[in-house]
Amino acid sequence: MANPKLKTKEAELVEKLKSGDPDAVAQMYNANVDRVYSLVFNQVDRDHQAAQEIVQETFLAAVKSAKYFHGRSSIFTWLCSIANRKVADFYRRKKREAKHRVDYAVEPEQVQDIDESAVSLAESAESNAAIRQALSSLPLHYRQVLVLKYVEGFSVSEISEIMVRSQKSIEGLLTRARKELQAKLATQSEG
Amino acid sequence: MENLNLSGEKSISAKLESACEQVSPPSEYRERLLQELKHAVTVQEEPRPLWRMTDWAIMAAAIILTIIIYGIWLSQHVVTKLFP
Repeated sequence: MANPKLKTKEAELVEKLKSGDPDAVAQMYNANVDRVYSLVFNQVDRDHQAAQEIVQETFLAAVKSAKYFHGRSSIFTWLCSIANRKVADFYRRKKREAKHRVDYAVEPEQVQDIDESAVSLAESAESNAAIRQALSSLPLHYRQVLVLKYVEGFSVSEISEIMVRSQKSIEGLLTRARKELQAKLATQSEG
Repeated sequence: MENLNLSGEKSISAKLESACEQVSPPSEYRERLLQELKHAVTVQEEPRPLWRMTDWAIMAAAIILTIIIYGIWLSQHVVTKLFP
């Protein structure tokens, strides 16, 4: 349950943001930039350049659209929903640029190559690398839902707000994403 | 290789959390973006330039004045034609 005092503070901050208060913008930014950056970074195959570009777009969009934010969700949830859309836009742009080359999903052959090279790594680092590779080979919406649920610790209802889908749809998506991740890891272990 | 069997929510959560560690953006980037956001707010806040508000008023006044002058000219022209 959210702390009511915290909620009031957030509501005040939202009002200040709506009125275009630069101090409120700084406060919102400082409180959320690290978590938003981490969220994006884990969705773009740990590419710092891409993460920086997307986080910049996210906060600029947030500042521009602050007057339309009703404060029904937390500021962080609102920022995550913007970031998620920006990540999708980023991949759409990338796909358009690459045209026929789907380079955002690591091809199975590539997974095999990377997996083989990871054999020399320490065991836990190796398994982390394998999980990251399996994660990055998943379709974007699977990756997003897994990161939001298991890395950021959002509830299903919060994820449904962020991804603008019903809670049922999120539950289904989570089940499919988990299965797909397990399948990818099983393939890697066999190889 | 470590067992990567992800059966159960807790196992998935633990494995993903450990694989996707929290990272922070570089400090120069943080500072630059903050300045950019502050600038974006002040630009948004700035009132519309006066010339942008007045140019429409001037154009509207010019159109109305043209219509009035044409009306006067037309009425005089018609009167002189009807009553030479």
